Amino acid sequence: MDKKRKSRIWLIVSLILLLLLFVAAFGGEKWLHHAPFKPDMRHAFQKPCLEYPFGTDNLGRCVFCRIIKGSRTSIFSALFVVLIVFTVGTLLGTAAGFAGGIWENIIMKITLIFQAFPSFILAVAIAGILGNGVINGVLSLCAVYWTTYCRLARSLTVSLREVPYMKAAKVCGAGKPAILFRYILPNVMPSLLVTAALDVGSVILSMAGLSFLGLGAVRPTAEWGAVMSEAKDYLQTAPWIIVFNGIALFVVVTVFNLLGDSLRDLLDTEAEM
Amino acid sequence: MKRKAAVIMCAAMIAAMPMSSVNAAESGKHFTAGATTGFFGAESLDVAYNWDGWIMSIYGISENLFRLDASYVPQPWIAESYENVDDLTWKFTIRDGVTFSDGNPVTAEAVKKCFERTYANNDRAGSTLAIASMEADGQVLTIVTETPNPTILNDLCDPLLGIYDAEKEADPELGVSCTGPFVATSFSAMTEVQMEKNENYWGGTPKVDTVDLKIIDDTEALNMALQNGEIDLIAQLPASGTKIFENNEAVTMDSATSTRANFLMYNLEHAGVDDVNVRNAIGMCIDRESFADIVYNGYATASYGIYPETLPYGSTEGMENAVTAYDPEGAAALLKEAGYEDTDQDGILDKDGEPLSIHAITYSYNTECLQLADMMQAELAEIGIDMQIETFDVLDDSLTNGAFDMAILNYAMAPTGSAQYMISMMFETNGSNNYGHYSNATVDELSEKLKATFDEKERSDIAKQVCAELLKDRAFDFVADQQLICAYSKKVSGFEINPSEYYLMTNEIDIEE
Repeated sequence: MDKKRKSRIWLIVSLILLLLLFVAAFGGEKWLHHAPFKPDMRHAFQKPCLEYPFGTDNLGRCVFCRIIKGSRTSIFSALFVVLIVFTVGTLLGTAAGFAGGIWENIIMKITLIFQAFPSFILAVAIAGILGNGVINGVLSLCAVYWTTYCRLARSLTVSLREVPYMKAAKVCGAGKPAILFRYILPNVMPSLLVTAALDVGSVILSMAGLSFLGLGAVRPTAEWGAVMSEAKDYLQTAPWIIVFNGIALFVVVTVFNLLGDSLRDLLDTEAEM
Repeated sequence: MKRKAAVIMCAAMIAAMPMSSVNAAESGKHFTAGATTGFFGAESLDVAYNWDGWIMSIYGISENLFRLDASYVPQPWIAESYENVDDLTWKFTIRDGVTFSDGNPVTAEAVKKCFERTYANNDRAGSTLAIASMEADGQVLTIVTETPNPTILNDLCDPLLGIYDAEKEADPELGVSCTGPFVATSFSAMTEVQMEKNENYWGGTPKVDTVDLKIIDDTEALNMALQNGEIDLIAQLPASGTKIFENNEAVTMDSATSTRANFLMYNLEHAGVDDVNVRNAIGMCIDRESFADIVYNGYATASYGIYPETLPYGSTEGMENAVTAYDPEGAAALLKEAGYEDTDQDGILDKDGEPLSIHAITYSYNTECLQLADMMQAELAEIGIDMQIETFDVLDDSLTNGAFDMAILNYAMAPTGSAQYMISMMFETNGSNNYGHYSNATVDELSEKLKATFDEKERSDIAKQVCAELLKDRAFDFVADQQLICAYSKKVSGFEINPSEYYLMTNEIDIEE
């Protein structure tokens, strides 16, 4: 009971932090006292001060305003990726596990092909072929991440195929759609959700990585990875640009990982009980 | 898996260690310099291949008949003297006692053979200097040009016409034998060249024994390499590095006014930018002073003309010029006057139903050009022009295919000191780099006239007339003229910066051990 309570508290804490992040990303517009894109050359390379809490960049733009502006790109593109891979992977995986036979074989062989490559290298290659842009970055990460869900959903479904209540459902005359949606999906969902929550952080990092390499966000998007890539030229003269963007990335990834962890703990303790 | 990768990396590092330490431990003085691909990147060590002659001249491997001095005036180098026999005929006396690094003497015959090979292998040679015939007699080389050529001495400074031993087959790795103070001992394309001094150098034995020139494209890594003593000199220091070295006691920073400029080239075949009012309005939205003072940290000068003001034909005095200051309000008014209005309220101006949207391209590795693009994108958005930026490692394809409305470029405007160079290359209707399809009959006419004019004063006047036409049309918009900056350790002596980007390594460079 104590364990469960503890994980519940953690879940609430991480949800509150997440809420704060969303408020900052969505409502942050109101705090923007400076234009995030318009250069103000007279104020270039200002150190953090009251007027510019995180300082200004090489073109005199407020680093704080740009981080707020870029947070939406970073957070929502990652959520979008996870939503797509979660849906596609789960559907394909459960379908494969449920159908069995040749279909299972084909789908699983396809995932094997995708998994044969180091994942980030594959994402870089696909983004490189598709060209720059957040959308292309999202697509390339989807291509890399969906296999996890597909494999997990399939193995969970296979393990469910022979359990007694499944047999009972069949005997009672439940149709295939009913079995799939009423018995299999609800049972595989918790593990997949935890994986999804844990993946958000790593997708955000991968997206920033792609942008850092010049393959994700295009100008003038203030995506964190892209900003850090430009700011590395000023590592010695204006370190605040890269440092604050790095901290923002760190905080967001930590919050999402915290959420994923507490969600997993909660489900684990529930399963134990 | 990770552990395996780490083991392989460690093994590679250990394997690489003895190599680098052997180099450093070699007896004698060792000099190391770094630069980005733009300055040090050669594909081969063959003077005649592509632009490699330019890089080999920087390396101190190849030399020309003439050399540009600090004021862009050609001075005798491998050629000792010359005589202009008539409009078409020039006689050059090759310096006695000059040998190639392989020991063969440099004779008029050798120079002739060298030019013949270069002209056969590189198309650019013919447009640099059109030669009708050559004749060699002992040390005297007679060149007959196709048309009267007042800039032949400048043209002979182009490193493409560097002197090498054409008798000998070029080595697949180490290329051709030249006359410079250094000889390559190992070369890997676009990465690194290692050299040793040319013991037989005609101008006096070089003061350093071995030289290592490295390409380091990450500007911060380049700066740090000089800071931690890994390299002794940075050639063509990116502007962001100037702040780091300004207050560094162990480093000297030299700059020279080069002719390198940041400019915009418009594709006149594309709607929107084909309107001179739009081009003028864009020009008014560029804060050139801030760009020069802040992005370049003062190592550039704002430009409202065509050529740098330091050149005799650089002044724009008395010329009609629509853009003389940063004036975004004026730009907005100009567009309104020209009939551009935001009829659909989407924040982007339109005319005849066509939104004013510009596709701009620039180099992905040139941080100054990228910052100019960022500045312009935000400024133009304010007055209702949508600007999309696309960046490339190599721009050639997009430029040749016309896949741009506006290109943000960075060129040396007069690398040989002659105005003709860029007029023929970019401003003439059929110029090889006139990717925007600019065509002005007056410019073409003036260019032909310039080619046949020998008098310096008259040549400057013609060049100025070309500039006046260009300013009126604004198919090219010059933003800033940058300086060539080199930063080097206080241990280095004898280094002299030359505003032309053709030269770097000389026999005079020395280093304290």
